[in-house]
Amino acid sequence: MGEAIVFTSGKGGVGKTTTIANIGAGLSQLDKKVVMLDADMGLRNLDVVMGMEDRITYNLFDVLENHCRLNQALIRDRKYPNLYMIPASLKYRDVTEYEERLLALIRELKKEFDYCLIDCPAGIDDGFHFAISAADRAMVITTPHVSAVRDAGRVLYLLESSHIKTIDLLINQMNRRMIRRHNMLSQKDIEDVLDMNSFGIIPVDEHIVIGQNKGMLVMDKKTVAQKAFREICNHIINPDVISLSIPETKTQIRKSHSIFHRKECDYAG
Amino acid sequence: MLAKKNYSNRIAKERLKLMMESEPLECAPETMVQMKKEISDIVSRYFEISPDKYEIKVILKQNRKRA
Repeated sequence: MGEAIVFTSGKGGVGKTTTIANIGAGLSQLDKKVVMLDADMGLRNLDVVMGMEDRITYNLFDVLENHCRLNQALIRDRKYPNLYMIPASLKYRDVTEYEERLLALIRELKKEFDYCLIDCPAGIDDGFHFAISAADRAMVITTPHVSAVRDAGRVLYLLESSHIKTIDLLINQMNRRMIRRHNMLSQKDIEDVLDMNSFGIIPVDEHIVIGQNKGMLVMDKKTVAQKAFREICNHIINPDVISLSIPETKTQIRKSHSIFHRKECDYAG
Repeated sequence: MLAKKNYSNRIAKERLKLMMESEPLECAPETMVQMKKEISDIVSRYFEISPDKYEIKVILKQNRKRA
């Protein structure tokens, strides 16, 4: 029996879709069978991030409406053979009445797949409640920006009063240089504010943008983001393994501080 | 050298902390500040302690379960 994980953030643009795509690919590289569902009806994007936009015939709404069979809407990735995707509809759809059908669909998918990753739309309205309704577990994604952290706090608050019992936090787009100069919320700052430990940290990485331009993921490139996603995948599979991704331990901060101390003074002066 | 309190991440953190504690109660941040000031006045009436030596926190037990 597989596990359904919803990726949510409240705020848009924090990297939900990119994260889900790369974690999906990473889990499939670790021999897990993965299906990704885009629940963002009307603003689908998982297909472009995956480079699958030209292969869509049916979508999630068609499956829920019984316009097609499940197999017809499942798109298999060309590069990662264990990875499948069901796209969202291009047209906005009111999904309020479809939660039970989604639950039945996910129950079906979990028989076949090890992981069922759900891409939640931004916001906390009907689309959010639809996307989290069938999930066993939630990953809240935030960035070190005040707006994103605040929204993550709101979403955590909503998730804690939902049926979901396992809730984890991912911090995306961390810029070590800015953190070193105390110009960005650090991992510890965010953990203090949200009152929880983070599950994984993803550094800012230009390869994400370059890859997305071409409809490619970073999982088969040796980049900092790939390393972070790989660690998160290992952590998802083996929750007991302590993540090594924490980029700024206390000693590291001190060390980097001394190296950059002079530079910082130069800038300040 | 920059003064410690001028680090922009500290400002961000303080602002977020205030939002996080006041918003679930649907109370404005100013109300929270005012309430803390009043509690602080009471504390100083009973103890001889300067306000920077202690902190007043509002912890919601019902909704945020984590310690």
